[in-house]
Amino acid sequence: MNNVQDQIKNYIVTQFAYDQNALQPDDDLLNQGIVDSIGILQLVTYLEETFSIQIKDEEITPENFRSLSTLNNLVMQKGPVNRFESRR
Amino acid sequence: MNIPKRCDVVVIGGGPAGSTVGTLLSQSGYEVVLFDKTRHPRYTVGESLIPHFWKYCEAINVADKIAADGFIEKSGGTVIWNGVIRQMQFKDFGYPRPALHVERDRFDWILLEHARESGVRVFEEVAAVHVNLDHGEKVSVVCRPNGEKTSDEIACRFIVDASGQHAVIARQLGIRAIDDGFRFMSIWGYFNNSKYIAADGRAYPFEKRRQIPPTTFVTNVDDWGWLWHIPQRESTSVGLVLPQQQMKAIKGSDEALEAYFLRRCSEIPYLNRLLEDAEYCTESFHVIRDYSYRPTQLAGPGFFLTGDAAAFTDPIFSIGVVLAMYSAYLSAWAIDRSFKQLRRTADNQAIFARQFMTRLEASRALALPRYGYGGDEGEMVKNSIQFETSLEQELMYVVSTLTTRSDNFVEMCRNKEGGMITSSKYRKLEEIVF
Repeated sequence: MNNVQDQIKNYIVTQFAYDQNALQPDDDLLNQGIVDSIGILQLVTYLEETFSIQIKDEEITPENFRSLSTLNNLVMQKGPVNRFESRR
Repeated sequence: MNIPKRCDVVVIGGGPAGSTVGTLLSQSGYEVVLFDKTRHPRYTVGESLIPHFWKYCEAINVADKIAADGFIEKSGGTVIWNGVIRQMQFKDFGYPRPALHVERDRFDWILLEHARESGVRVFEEVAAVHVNLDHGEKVSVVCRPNGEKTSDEIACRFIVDASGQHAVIARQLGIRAIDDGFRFMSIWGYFNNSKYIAADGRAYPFEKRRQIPPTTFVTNVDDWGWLWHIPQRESTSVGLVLPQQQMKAIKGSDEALEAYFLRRCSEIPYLNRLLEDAEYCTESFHVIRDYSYRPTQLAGPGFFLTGDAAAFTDPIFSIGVVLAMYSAYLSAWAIDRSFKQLRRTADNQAIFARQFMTRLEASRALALPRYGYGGDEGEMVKNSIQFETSLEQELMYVVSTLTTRSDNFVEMCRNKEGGMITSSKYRKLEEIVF
């Protein structure tokens, strides 16, 4: 089943050309340069459009964007996910 | 000249920031009109680029044109500060493409032509004289072709100010804060046949610059002034940046300033040896009276500020063009989102302002002598550092140790666990070998 975190992982792996098998939930996306300053902007738009949420400017922090699991937490804390269909 | 009555976005200025934002928006399908009051190619300074600029060139599909043009590649920096010699190389930090020394008339012209080819309607020799913002409802730009008495007005949804140090909107709205303690003068000229310093700590003759890339050579002058030495295709750019106060002692004429410049060049250690067999290009002397300023507001109803139109610090670490292109990219992102959901414009501008401001503040902390980092500014700088890759953090740390400009910055170089960021990716040398 594709949950929120899997969808984010798929996006990052595709968009930033990273090895699917190497990317772990707690890997540091910023430190390792997987997502850079331009990538963060693309990620914000992806998260908003995919999960129908609004990310506020004060939420774009290194803490929230650090890893797949912190991104998952950011999305989950913004309300119910029952609108999200599983995607292949 | 058929200036349209309306468009989606007006860009003021055809330098790197203006070309970048214009191209991005045009490539996304928006109607963009760009005004520049000069005719390109036009001379300007700011000739050293760090390799970060490539990703913005790639984003607008102009990287191949830049790579093919034959600009001199630089391998890194040689900084001699208070007699201590240090060198760093960009390849140690993993950048896939090289840093460059560019002739800005050529570099900026390639970007502007590319903007045109991407669908931006470019009007040169037209000045933007006034903006009407009207709370973001009826936004327009009043513009005037050079030498004409009548103006045109063009309506749009957003204005991006990329007018560099003209800072059209910031001046009109009074939203610049000038750093009074940091007024300086840049005086510079060009030399043929100057030697240069390579990354191996040796001086080489000018004709080797393509086989053995130069470093950008920087050394301190007097209290907090500094000097740049930037080998280019045909000649070498040499400049002095000195406090305004100090320059007052020299009688104001440009001839006197030029004589002063040449005298200092012959006295400054290492530089004088590099210039031993060089010839000064007469008529190549330039003066700019500069001051450091920052914005009190980066975006507002109907407008965004980018590059030098937003802030200018001190070009000592060659980040101006990169910051300009970054802020241009950021503004294009915010504008695209705002067109798609108009009611979220303020939110997007808040994101733009915060992201740009944190990076601006970090650049100020690096370059301003005796930068005080209490409170909010300090938090912004720390945040900015923590957004970066670990390699980039190491680069910032190394740069901050090369001079005494960044004393306080070093303190803020902490990783996410609060530990100090350090790096050994630099060399300290006993001498430069001639």
